Amino acid sequence: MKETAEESRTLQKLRRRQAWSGAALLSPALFIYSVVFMIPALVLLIGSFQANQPEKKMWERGWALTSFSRFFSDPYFIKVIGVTLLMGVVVVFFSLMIGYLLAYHIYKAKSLAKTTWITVVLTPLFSGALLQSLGWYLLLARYGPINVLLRDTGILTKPFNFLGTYGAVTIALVHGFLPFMVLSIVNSLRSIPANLLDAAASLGANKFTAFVRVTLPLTKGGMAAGSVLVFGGTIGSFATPGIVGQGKIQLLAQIIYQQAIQVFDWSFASAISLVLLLVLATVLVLTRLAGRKGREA
Amino acid sequence: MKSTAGSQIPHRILAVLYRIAVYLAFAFVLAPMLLMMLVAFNKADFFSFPLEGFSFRWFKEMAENSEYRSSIMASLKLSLFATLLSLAISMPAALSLRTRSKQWVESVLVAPLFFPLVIWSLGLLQFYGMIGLSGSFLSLLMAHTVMITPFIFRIIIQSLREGNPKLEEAAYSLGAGKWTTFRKITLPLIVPGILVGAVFGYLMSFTDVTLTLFISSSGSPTFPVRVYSEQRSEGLNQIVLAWSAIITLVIFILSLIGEKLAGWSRYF
Repeated sequence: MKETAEESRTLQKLRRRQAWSGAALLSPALFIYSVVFMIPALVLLIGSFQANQPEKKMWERGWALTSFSRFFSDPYFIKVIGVTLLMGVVVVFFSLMIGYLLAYHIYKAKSLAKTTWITVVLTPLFSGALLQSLGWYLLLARYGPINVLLRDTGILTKPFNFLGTYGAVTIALVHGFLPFMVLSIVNSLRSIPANLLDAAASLGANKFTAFVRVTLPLTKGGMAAGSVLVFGGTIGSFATPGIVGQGKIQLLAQIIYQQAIQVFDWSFASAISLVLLLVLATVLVLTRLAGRKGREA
Repeated sequence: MKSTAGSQIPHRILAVLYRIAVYLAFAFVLAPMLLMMLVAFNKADFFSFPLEGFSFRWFKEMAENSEYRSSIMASLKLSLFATLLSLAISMPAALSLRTRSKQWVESVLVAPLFFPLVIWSLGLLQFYGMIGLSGSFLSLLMAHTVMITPFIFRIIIQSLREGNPKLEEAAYSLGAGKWTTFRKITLPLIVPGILVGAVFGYLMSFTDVTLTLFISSSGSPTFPVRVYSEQRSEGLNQIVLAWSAIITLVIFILSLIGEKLAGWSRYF
């Protein structure tokens, strides 16, 4: 009896020591996160419910809902939020279409071709939105190759400046977020057991039927994960609309930057950010729910 | 098996169409990068298509221009320190959380992934103003560190969980101490994950525009922010294209090596 009591005491001591060392291992990360992530998020939240008085310290400002009422009563901002959401949906749609095609091709390719194609998809992901946008800026410019092509084929008689149009921004965004979609789908294709498709074939399904009835349903998760990434990326995108949209296309992120840095209305910029965050959270929750329902069905 | 001549032909046409669609899609992915490379070697003063001729002119001017070089150096330095700091906080955190003991801490550590950078940057801009840290190197370093930590942390914890804990138990039971076990067993197992995470984090920090532009209220502290601001005010400079071509080439080679050696596309 006595022995076990002692044992449990030692065990307790050991556990406590483990808990302490666990906390010690976590504390550097949690410290930096609280300084540059958690407290700033709180500041943003509080700031959006305050009047815009940049000359005063945060705790001296008055509470106000003016930023929100201004946002929701101005048709211009309502239009921007609508355009941003629509842009998100359109970009998700096209990157799903193109992304699935690329992912399927990569999944089917043999070793060397596979590595090469994956690298082709990874490079734009790693080189970031800015460099890719510069490429699109050149492609779509008034004196760029696409204009020359359209002129030589007789489709256009005068060069057309594609930059600063919704079409141009959509194309550049689809291109920019495509790698996320491709990788999500490739990774879910990889997790399909090969014998499932063999089973489908031996039961008489042709390739097309096997794809529609077996492969496609099993990659739903990858498509959903990719779509969430692409949607979130699009409605928060900043550099691509800036470069390819040339300041003529305003999405939410551009408006936030304008209000914060140029107009210096932090309260209003914070309120817009909060709206954007709520939209994103709603989409995330809805996707989760749809995913759960899909699994039950 | 029914295969009449009538159903064979559309099948073949479909296969050809599929091929064409695949190659068009890859062309779409590659087009902006390839054009940028080509234009970097164009000898004309300004970009206009068709290109005028092959020349190393802009690479020579790039080598002579110290302004862009110094912003490239600033970017390289910032990303290096951010990656090192991120590894220094992610590794202990991943070790402590590998048994899925504290789910909430794990959620906090990956949370910046779900926060659009603009929003987070706006909060950070205000907070840095309040504590008087705006514009300092430290402010950029901490922000970049937290921006890339979710990726680095996730990759490290994933490779820790893929490893077999029995190996470590065996080392303990053979009398190895905690530190020895970590050094000889755990670390070698997660080195590929650490490398992949570090390279990806480094590149993400190196190419960032949004976060840096928001919190560095004045000046152009990094190469991408400099390019972005210049492009919006004066248009695109040929020297920038020369640098971009080099950066893209380096990233292509890195991706190829990473995929060949570590199969790193599976980490996403």
